Amino acid sequence: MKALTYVVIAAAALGLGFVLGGWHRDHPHDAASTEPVPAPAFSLVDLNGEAHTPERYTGKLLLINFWATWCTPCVLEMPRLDAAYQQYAERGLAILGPALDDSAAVSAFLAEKPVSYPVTVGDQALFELMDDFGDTLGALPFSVLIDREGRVVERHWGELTQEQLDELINSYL
Amino acid sequence: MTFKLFCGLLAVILPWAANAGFFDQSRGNQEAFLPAEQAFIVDALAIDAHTVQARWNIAPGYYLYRHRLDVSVIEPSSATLQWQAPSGQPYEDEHFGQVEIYHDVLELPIDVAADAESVTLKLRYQGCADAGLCYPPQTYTVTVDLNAK
Repeated sequence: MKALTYVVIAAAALGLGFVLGGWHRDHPHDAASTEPVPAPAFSLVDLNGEAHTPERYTGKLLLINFWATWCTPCVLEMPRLDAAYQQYAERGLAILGPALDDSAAVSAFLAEKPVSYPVTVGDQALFELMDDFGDTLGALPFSVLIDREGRVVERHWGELTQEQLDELINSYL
Repeated sequence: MTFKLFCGLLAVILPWAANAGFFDQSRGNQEAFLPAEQAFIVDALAIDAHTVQARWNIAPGYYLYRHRLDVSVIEPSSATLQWQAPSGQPYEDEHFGQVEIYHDVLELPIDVAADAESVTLKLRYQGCADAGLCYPPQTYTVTVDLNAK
């Protein structure tokens, strides 16, 4: 009888734990973020020669999406990002797409599948910038959300689904 | 007492593991993914004086692209290599189209013609996680003693 009591208690605790764990992971505020921290300094030059620094995005919600042409999940999420950018830019959403790739590959890719947000190209320096944003995997896609006060509020490894993207935007815009 | 301890540990560890994402690789959080050197563990050994066997142990939920596999010789530069990537699992990649990939284990025999006791090879490979994350092309440099076998 005593053993049965333990089993019931353990099962209840497990169930609660799984429910809470699942809830926790289904909410991007908790799942992919840490405590908001000031965004690290960066200066990126896009394919049109324009410089992008954190100061340029003060007062906007900035999604930095690190990607590459050799990364299938990256190129799959780009149309979603582009659609969000076109829909929400006027409300203050900005997107920046640093590509860890070579310029020729990026230019050829964008000629076929253009996006309306600015794209920059780099290699080792961009991996270092990913490190500065708290990445330790060096894998793509890696997305960082910086709020209107210039704080990193979300970090996401892997492809952003439409649902995840919507929730991020609705939470912070 | 032991049983009580067991139940207590289960109640603490399993919810924590669930919370950490160990049961759901689809999450985009960093903890759900392995670093490249753990996702793709590579080594190479001599089978005989003329053959090196490269082997990749690929973690569950990860894969390597056949078309991104490459082997080259660093030392001695006069050495020549012959190798052919084995057939992989057909895979419809939404970006690259029809490709072949490897899961679990990849073994690649490399024929080496070298007037030397050892050869230094550079293995290049690239892969992804099924859950939607890709690693940059990786390079593994290894010196193999051709007389070791």
